[in-house]
Order: sequence, then structure tokens, then C-alpha cells
Amino acid sequence: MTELIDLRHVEDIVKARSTVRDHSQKLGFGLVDQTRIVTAASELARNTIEHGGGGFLQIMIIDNMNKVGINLVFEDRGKGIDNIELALSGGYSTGSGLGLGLKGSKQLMHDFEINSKHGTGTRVSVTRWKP
Amino acid sequence: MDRIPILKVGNILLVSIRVDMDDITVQNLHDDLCEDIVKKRAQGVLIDISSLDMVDSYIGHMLGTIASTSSILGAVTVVAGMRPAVALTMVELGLTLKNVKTALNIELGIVEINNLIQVQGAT
Amino acid sequence: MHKAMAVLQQQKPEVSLEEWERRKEFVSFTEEDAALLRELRPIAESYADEVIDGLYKKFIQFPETKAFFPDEKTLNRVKALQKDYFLGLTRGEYGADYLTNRLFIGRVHQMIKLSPRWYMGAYSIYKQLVFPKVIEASKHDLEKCKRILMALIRLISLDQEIAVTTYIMASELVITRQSEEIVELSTPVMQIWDQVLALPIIGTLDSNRAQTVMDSLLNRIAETGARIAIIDITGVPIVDTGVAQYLIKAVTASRLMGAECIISGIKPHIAEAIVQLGLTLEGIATKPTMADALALAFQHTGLTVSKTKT
Repeated sequence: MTELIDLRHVEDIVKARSTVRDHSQKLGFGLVDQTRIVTAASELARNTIEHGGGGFLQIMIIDNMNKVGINLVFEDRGKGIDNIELALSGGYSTGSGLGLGLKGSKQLMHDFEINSKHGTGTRVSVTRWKP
Repeated sequence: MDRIPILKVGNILLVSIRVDMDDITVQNLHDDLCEDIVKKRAQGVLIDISSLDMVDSYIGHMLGTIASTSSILGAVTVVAGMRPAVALTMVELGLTLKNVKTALNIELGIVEINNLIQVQGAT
Repeated sequence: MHKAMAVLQQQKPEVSLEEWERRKEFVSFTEEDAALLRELRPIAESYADEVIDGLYKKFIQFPETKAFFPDEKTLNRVKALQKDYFLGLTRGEYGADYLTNRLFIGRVHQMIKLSPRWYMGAYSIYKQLVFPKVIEASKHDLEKCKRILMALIRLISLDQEIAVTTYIMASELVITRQSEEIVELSTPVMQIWDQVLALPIIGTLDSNRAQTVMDSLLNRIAETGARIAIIDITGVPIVDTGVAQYLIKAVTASRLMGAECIISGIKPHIAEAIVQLGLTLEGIATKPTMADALALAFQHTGLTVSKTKT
């Protein structure tokens, strides 16, 4: 089961948050896990809009025999990230908030995958599994 | 989205955030608070976030900015009512809000603000 | 006893119908086998009592199995149930209903604590008692006799698999429940004074436990309006980077909620280990004992303790 959300304007971040919250709740994630997932979604959605020039979010529910989880894929056609290492190291992070988005999302989710090419765009995929 | 209302209680400005804020609303809140601190000669700012089920890096950063700016304008800021799930997530996110004073709820927040104002006055 | 049985019946199936069909495929149990066993029914009915008697004669001989039948009434009741089970092998339908019935039996065995060792043995006795009878009844057609025996072997092995699977899963459930109980019991968050919480941690702190501890701590802070939480680690044998990080995380999260933490019970060798790990508990108040931590907590909340004149 998948759902697609357009990420173009800053207001779309709120829509992304509430939709992701709904799905996480329905999947039966605990309160803290829900908060982690929604926060990661907020960070990555903002990146897509502010740095990627807009794109979309694909929410996918994974429900196998053994594993249940939620997968979020953020894609944009922006200018791409030149130095992924640097971006993942936290940028300006002094605990104040700037540049924490990518690194933070990685810390909040179980699986994290990023593909970014200069000039073509960025794709970030994150997944959180139910315990 | 509507702007967040700011109440004046004595010499304290009270803000109760009850909606899921978008980035523009957050920015407006900062601007409105700064304006009100000066206009109403407030000595304290109490931001109640007990209704927030999520604080991401943007909101977190803005809370820090509000605290710093208020300080320059002569007011102390206290953020009250952070939920346990939010506190845990913020720590994992790497947001520590080092320069922001916090309190468990509005009541304790007001006590803290008054203490801080007294301390400020004494120096 | 009835209530317990009802609970066991309503449990979510340990083996899905899909999985059951896969297992049948694996041991090559086909519709042909089902038909052969159905055919066997009238013969099975005729020697059922003999087989059951033979089985229980064996059970009574061994004290470990005899213990499950303390009196005549219980013995007869179980023998009747056993006969039903035995005849079930030749019912001719081996789908959802059959699976549900077999799963239930496995759960019951776990509940009464009959270990697989004994009912595996019972299956063997079944075969030893039944095979000669089947051979006798179909000796005029050796080919058919072979196919009937194959069908029985396949079905009995499927039954054994189910029995073992349910037993293991039921045991695992008990272990999980017990582990959760242990975790809960060993990390109480107590309110030892107005606005002061104490959290004595005993035992090793792994990531699961740390998560549970932090959840309880933060929720209690919210519930009680505590301004100070004393985390005592006297009972934590090893403090490595992981544990230190959990502590720092707990303290930081508490601070975000407006509560200060004091860590007490750091033994000298632990302090040394922390320094050697290159960590500092910078900005976190620490005290050698919980008593010292409590004194500090009083200070912070503006309380003084004084003796009353006697």
C-alpha cells in the first residue's frame, strides 16, 4: 500500500506530517516511534522543498510475515548534494537546529539510503520497523 | 494559517501553541513576539508546547532564536510542557536547546520566569 | 480450567493455512493420500480402542507420563480425547479445521507442561501399533498397502511438526512475558519526595532496557511534576560507552522537560572507566550515594532538614 504526497510549498510539510502520523498510528507504532517517524518526515520534506526545489514523498507500508514497517521516499529534481558526507555529518549542528535534517533523520530511522547526483536531483529513502 | 495568539499576563507574554505549525507560522510567531515584548514591555515569555506532538529542527531552532532575541530585548524565555516522546526524539535528533530554559508545565514555568526575572534584577 | 481452554482456543494461529499447505507440499502429502486415509476410516474405528489401550498401557508403565493421570476419571477422560484425536487422522479432510484442531492440542500440551519428548514417543507407539494392523488389512494388495503407510507417515510427521511448533512458540511467549516482567520490576521509578524522583537501576543496561527506563522516567516526570530525578547506578556492573550514552540521553531529555537529573552511585573504578573512554559527564550533577544526591535535591528545591528538639 502506497501513498504519494506533492511537496512543493512550505505548507505541504504539515500535510506530510499528518499523513505520516496517521499511517504510523494505524500500523500500531508506539507513541515515541510515531514521533520519530513524523519528525524525520518533517526534516526530509523540508529539505526536498527548500533545497530540492520541490518534489514528492512516497509513503509505503511494508507488511510481510515477519516484518512490519513504514518506508518513506523523498525525491526531487533539484541541483543535488555535492558533498553527501558533509551533509550527513551535520553541517552547522551545534544543537541549535541548523543543518541537522539529514543526519537527524538517519538517527531517527532504522534504514537510511541516499542517492544524489549533481544536477539531477536527490532521493532519500528511510524506513522504521515495528519492534 | 492564522497567527498564534499572544496573551499578556502581568508582565509575562503567554503563548500556547495548539496547532501543527508550518514554517511561516513559526517565523510569524517569532516576529510577533519580538514586537510585543517591546510594545507591552514584557519581562518574560512563556511558550507552552504541551499540545505539540512533534518538534523538528526548524521549530527547535526557532525556539532557540526566540530565547536569544528576547534576551537581547530584556525578557527571559521559558518553554514549558514538552511531552516525553518529543523530548526523547529531540535528543535523538541532536537538538539539545542548550540556551533555552524549560519547565514541566505552565504553572512551574511562571515560577521559573519570576525567579529568573528576580535574578536578572539583582545583577 | 474452562476459561484457560477458551483463551487457548482464541489464540492467533501459530501456523497459517498458507504455511500448512506449504508443509504438506514439502512432505508430499496429496489429495490421493487424503483419499486413502478416508478409506481407512472404518478399519481405524474397529481397532481404535485397542490402539488407545496399548498407548496408555505404555504411559502407565513410565512414572513421568503416569503422573499426568492421577486418577481413573482423568485417565478415562483423556483416553476418550485421545480416541477422537486418533480417529481424526482418518477423517479425510486435512485443511483449515484439521489445522485449527492440531494447533489447539499443541497449546494444551504446553499449558499442562507435557514435554515434546513424551508425545513424540507417543507418535512412535501409534505407528508401532497401527502399522501392523494396516499391513494385515491390505496385505492382498502390496502396492496399496505401501501407499497407505506412506500417507500415514506423511500425516503423522505433519502432526508432529505442528505439535512441536506450537509448543516452542507457546514457551517463547512465556519467556517474553517473563522478561518484560523482570524489566519492569527491576527499574521502578519512585517518588521519594515532593518533586523528587529516584530511579535505582539494577543490572546490565542494554538498548531495549534503556529505552524502557527512559520512557518510564520521562512519563513519571510528566505525571508527578518532578523537578529532580536521581538516577542511581550503584547496581549497574558495567558502564561502557553505550551505557554512558543512555545516561546522557536520559538527562538531556529530562532537561528538555524541565527536570534536572543527578546521577549517584558512580564507583571509583567506573569513574576511571568513563575518563578512559574519553567521556565527560559535563554539566551533569553527580554524587557518590543516593543520600548525597537527595541532600543536593533538597538544596535545589529550597528545603532544609533540621532536627526537632526532644
